[in-house]
Formats: sequence, structure tokens, C-alpha cells
Amino acid sequence: MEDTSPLRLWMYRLSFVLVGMVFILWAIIPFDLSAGSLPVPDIFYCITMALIVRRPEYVPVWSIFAVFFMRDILTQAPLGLATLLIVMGSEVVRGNIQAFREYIFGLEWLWMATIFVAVTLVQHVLLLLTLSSAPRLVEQVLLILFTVIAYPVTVGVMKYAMGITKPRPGVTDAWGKRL
Amino acid sequence: MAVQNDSEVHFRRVVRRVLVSVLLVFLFAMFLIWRIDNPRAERFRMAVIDKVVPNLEWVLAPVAHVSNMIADAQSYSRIYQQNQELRRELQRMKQFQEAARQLEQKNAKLLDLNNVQLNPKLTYTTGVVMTDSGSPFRQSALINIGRHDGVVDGWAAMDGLGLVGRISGVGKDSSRVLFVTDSSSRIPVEVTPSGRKAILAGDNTAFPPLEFLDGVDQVRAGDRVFTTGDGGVFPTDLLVGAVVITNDGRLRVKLAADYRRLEFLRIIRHLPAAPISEPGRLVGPTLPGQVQVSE
Repeated sequence: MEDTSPLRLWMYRLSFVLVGMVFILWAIIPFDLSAGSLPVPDIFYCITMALIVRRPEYVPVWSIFAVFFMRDILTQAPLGLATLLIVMGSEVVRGNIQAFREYIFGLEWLWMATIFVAVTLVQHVLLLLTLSSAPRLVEQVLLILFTVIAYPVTVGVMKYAMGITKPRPGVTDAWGKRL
Repeated sequence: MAVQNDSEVHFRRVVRRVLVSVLLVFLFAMFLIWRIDNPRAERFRMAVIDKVVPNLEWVLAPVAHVSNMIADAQSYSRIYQQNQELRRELQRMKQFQEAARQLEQKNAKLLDLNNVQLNPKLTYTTGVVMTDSGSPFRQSALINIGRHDGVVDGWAAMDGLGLVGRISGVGKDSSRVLFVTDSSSRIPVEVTPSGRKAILAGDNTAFPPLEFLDGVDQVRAGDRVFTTGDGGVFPTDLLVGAVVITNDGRLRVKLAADYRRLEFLRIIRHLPAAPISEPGRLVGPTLPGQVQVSE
């Protein structure tokens, strides 16, 4: 039987935000400042999406907003744009959570890849429409490719190292609500 | 505890939907504000960074330090090879040193003969790199000096040798350096010895291209590139790098600054000379009672 007490719930919510901050810090540590390096997969996107399917109550929309907006600020990205699209993507998954739970993993993977492609492309188009400077499409495609590859790895680490899997039917939280 | 009844669940769902919509509208408005009133949005960003990043230095500094140590340890493994290289370079450098000394003396004599006034001596202040932009799409760094230390937007940043970028965004205790490799960076440069002017336009690669170059045929690979004072933004004659010609025939610049190991940045204090706008003021001060000749 899984431990579903409120204390544990808030601990997980807090650690989601902390993990997000660690990923941001890791990105902005000045290891190598030369231009033209390959994009790094957006692993935190993978963690967020995988957790929404598996434990949606650990990732309330406010945590997603806080972490990704902080990332926009600290990484000199267009303020709020990536956050807007990722929050929208996460709401799509949250709204259809029962369907996502019943998917086999391949189908889930395909969906997450599609959402990431949509997020990146809409971002690119919006930047072009507003005449802002957008990154080159080649780099964006590489980013998409790496992130899509990183998704099953993230889910594997979650499952085998941390024991986070899709909840079995009938498991309830402290308030008797279905997970 | 009891299972919540249907109407309560429904009510919570509606409230949640409204709140999420408000959040989305807020984010979209944020993006529009960023686009429309960019300087203000960037000032807001700089204020947040100024609050957050200096408090995180105790995390950032050790990690960066350890990674440098690992990189240094790797270089021990090829110490013999490096030694050989250094010996050869030293030999060449001695030759150059001798030539430079002779030229320096000659130059000093000639300047003395001509009574030439050179640019005022540049002074600089030094900052430590705290963070980079965290994304391969944007090339910038955050340094630990800001308005408190008198840093002003637009000043040039160099490593020991070459131009790195310019200050773009100043907070109280930190400021952002936009690298010349960033895709929004444009810097007026001059190619020597031909003296051709061009714009160094960053494009997120390690070798930014030269654009709007007049007289392409007079520029050769290996020519050195310096900043010009055009537009009054930059001090003149800072070394940028050397021209390289790519396979497709484009002219690019190999930057003199070593971006892989940037730890300290020199910020060049630069106060542009007062512009001369009225021809009448050129000749001597205005004497009391003198009538200004104006056209």
C-alpha cells in the first residue's frame, strides 16, 4: 500500500520545485561559454510530463508555472513564452489523464513528443511573427530530437530508481479521492 | 474521510479552470509586454536576477571550480606534448618580442616628432563570470559588478586579449554581457591593414561573419579585425580577432578571446568624447561681450 499522507504530498511538491531549480542552476553554471555547442535535451520537460501522467497531484499547475517562469527569467529567454506553451501542454495531458494512463508506453511517448514539437514550433512561429530573433531551425530540430530520446530514459529512471509508476486502480489519497 | 459530493467537485473544477485561464492570459500578456516594451521587461528581468543569482553563488562557484579542476587534470595527461609546443612557441615569441621592441622605439620617436595626440588612455574594471545564459540559443554571461561599481550599458568587455562582448543590462550588483557571438549582437569593426569597415554580426556560431564589408577582394584570411569607434558606442582599436574564409567563401572572424575558459572579464570604462556640434565653438572660448556668429 502506498503512503499517501498530506505531509508526503507536500514534500513531493516541494522536491519537484527544488529539482527544477537544480536543473536551471546546472544550465547556467558557466562551464563553457563558446558558441555553437549542441543543444541539451530539455529533461525537466520530460520529468514534468511523465509526472503529470503518473502523479498529477505532485505537479500542480502553480509549480510548473513557478519553475518554468523562473527558467525564462534566468536563461534570458522571451519572458513567459515557453512557460505559456508548456503550461498549455501540461493542461492538455491533465485534462485527458485517464486516456494517458491507459495508453501503452509507445503511444504515451508519441504524444509527449508531439506536444514538445508543437510547443517548440509555436514558439518559433510566434517569435517570427513578432519579429523577434528566433534560434535557427536546425538547432530547434536537434533540441526536439534529443528531448524525444530523453523521454523514455527519464521515465525509466523514475520507474526503476524511484519507484514512480502509473497508480494501480483503486488507490486513494488521504481524502479518499482516487489518484 | 468522506468522499466529496458531486457539486463540490464540480465547483472546484470550475474555479480551477478560471484560475488557469487567468494564468495563461497573464503569461501571454507578459510575452507581449516583453516584445513591445523590451527595455522595461529586461530591466524587470535584471532586477530579479540581481536578487536571485548573487545569493546562489555559494552553489555555483564550487561546481564551476570543480569542473575547471577536472579539465586541468585532463591537461596533465598530455603535459609532454604541451611542453614541446610551448618551447616552439616561446622561440617564435622571442623573435616577435625583438621586432616589437624595435618598432615601439621607432614609433615613439615618430610620434614625438609629429607631436601626435592619441586616444585617452582606457581604464578598466574587472568582473567575475557568475553564470552563462543557460541555453545554446543565447550567448551571454552574468558578471558580479553592476551599477554599484559604476558599470554603464554599452561598455565593452574583454578577456586579457580580445573583445568578448558588451554590457547589455545592468543591475545593482550584477550586469549582463552580451557576447559578440549572440545573434542579436552587431559591432562596427575595421579590417587591417586594408582599413575596410564592416559589421561583425553574431549568429550563434563560434565564428561570427563579417557583413556589409566594402571591398571584399582586399581582405585576406589572417587579416586582423579591430573595433571602430563608429556610432560612439565603443572605444576604438580593441582587438576582435582574425579573418578566416570558410569553404563557401564567406568571411568570418576567429575571435581572439578564449570563450572556453572565461573566468574574468575586463570592462573597459568608456566615456565618449563630447561631440562637436557647432562650428563656431571650435575656435577658442566665447569671450564676454562677443557676438555669436550663427547661420
